[in-house]
Amino acid sequence: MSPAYPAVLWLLLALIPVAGVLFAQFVRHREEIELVTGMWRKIDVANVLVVKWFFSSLLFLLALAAGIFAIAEFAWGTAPVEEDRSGLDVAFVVDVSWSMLADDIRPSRLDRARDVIRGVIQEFPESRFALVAFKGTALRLIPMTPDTLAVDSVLGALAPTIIAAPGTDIGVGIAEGLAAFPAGTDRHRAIIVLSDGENLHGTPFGAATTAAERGVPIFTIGIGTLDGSTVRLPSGELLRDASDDVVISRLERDLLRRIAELTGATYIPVGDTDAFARIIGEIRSMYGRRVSEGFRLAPVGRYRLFLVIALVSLMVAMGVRAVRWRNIF
Amino acid sequence: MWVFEQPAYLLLLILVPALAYFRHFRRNRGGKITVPFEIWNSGGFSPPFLARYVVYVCAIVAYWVGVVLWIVALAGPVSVHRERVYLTPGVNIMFVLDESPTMGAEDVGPINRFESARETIRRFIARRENDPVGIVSFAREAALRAPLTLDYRTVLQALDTIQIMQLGDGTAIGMGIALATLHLDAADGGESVIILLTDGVNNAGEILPETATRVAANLGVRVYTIGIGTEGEIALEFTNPNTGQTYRGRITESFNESQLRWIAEATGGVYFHAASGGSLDAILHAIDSLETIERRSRVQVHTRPRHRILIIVGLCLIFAEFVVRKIALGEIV
Repeated sequence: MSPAYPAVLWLLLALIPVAGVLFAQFVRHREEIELVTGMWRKIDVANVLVVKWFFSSLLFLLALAAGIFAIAEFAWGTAPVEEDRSGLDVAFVVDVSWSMLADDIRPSRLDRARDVIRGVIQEFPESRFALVAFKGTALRLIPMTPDTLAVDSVLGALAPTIIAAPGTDIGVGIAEGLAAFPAGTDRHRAIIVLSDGENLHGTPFGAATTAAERGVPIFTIGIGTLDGSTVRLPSGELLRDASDDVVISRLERDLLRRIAELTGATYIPVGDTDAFARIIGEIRSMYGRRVSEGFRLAPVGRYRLFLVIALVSLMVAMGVRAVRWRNIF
Repeated sequence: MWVFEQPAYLLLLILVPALAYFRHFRRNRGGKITVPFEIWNSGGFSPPFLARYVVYVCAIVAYWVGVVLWIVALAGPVSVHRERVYLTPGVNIMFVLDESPTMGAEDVGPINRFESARETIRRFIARRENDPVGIVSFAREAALRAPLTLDYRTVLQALDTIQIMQLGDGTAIGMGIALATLHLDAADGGESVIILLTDGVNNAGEILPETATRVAANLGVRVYTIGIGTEGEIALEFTNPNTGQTYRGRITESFNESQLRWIAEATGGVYFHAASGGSLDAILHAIDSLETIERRSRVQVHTRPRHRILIIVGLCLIFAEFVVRKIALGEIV
């Protein structure tokens, strides 16, 4: 049960000033209304004002909160979605940022990524593969093809220098990976992201949500260690940041885990000894289940529940204001 | 096109006018205090028309529009698009394109042999729907430019980057056929076809055209050969991509028609001679009609949820009404 747009929930903080305004207005209006209605009904008027103000404000805040929850797109539980597909298309999305040269995973993170890709290709002989590299921008090195020879030859050339744009934006990588699935085919699709998870630009969750909507699971493979290491450039120097400090690059597993969970896939750290077997096993089980049963399990969006709460609260809040109370107002 | 997953929720819209009446028009509704300004039998007066009244009405309209949007969002609006999905594999087509310097000859218009070939291949790819296409180019050496794929955009991009003489100055027809055959071998089912476009005689490469042709024939790959160019002395112009130097000259050599014919016939293909850009186009249309296979397809419907934007806009409108009514106009309850 995780929202697709968790950042939206920060809007809930905005309800505190709204509540503050409502209270300040109440204090001011209680005095003003006495002037209008006169002293002889003062007690009754004040009572009605308190009741109406309290319930309409509370319900209005509840409606706003529920509306915000609806926008955050919570999902829990799964439901089968019919899917009549056969065969498998896999798009590899490989991080080629400088941090992938770190050697906390030997010989280097990028070399390990290559090994994983070669291994996956061998395990799924009848499939088609595409290869996307990303840094600040993404590049489709190999389009979706059954030609594993072509993929293998380009794998050797993977290096941070093949993309000039600096930075790391997993989102553009995922988007390019999604675009690599050609239209008009009835094959199963999967994206495999190989990265250390250091995302310096943008947010990858929008692209991941699009993938989830299209039923494309994104398996994320975390390459690196939590302790991290320095990054040695091909020139032999250590990678330094803007203030000339040596950069220590660490595995950011939370981000990768979130991306995978959003799409109903799994995050697999490559440091584990059984990592490779797990990767193959996870893809195979997703793929096998979908083939044998002809459907896939999709997370069920629950925005409707929150929207109903929001609408009902809003209408009751309005009703509290619209009903005449004790024949006063 | 938009449709609703659960249109029954739209019935709630019927309640909206009733609720609006209950809130804004009903006699004796709450939220207002009647205060006497005049004695009971005088004429009284109407409140003056103020700009704030207009703002108030606009805010109310915004509020109800927001409510309507939320109800529409409840009904689960989704946009639908239909996609044709092919159930049978298409024909695997590998282009083997000569990029030797003589392809710069200007006898096949509008520019030269190479540009005519490129433009014709581009149009050929634009007609494809379910046939994986790849490109191998060759001169002294051969290289894979695009692997077999249905991702035609990438193939076209690869086609655009090919330049005359990037791979040296020979004509290694055998290498081109061999490399194309190697990459066709990975194709998943369906017929495999090589379309060879050349204007020269094999004079480079470690693999003879005959050897490569036999391998292709053994693997069941048909090779269509297209000889480009005319007889006689022809003006030539090309730029060496390595040095940036432009060469001009005249050539008289031509392709070996009997060899191309033999390659085609040994593999079950057809040999064509293209003396002009128009005939090149016609040839590829002919290959089109030779390579028609039965296609089965079905229509797959994809939906994309669209409720989120409605909820966001609705929330903004409802909140705007609150700001106007409560803060700007200072309504008490």
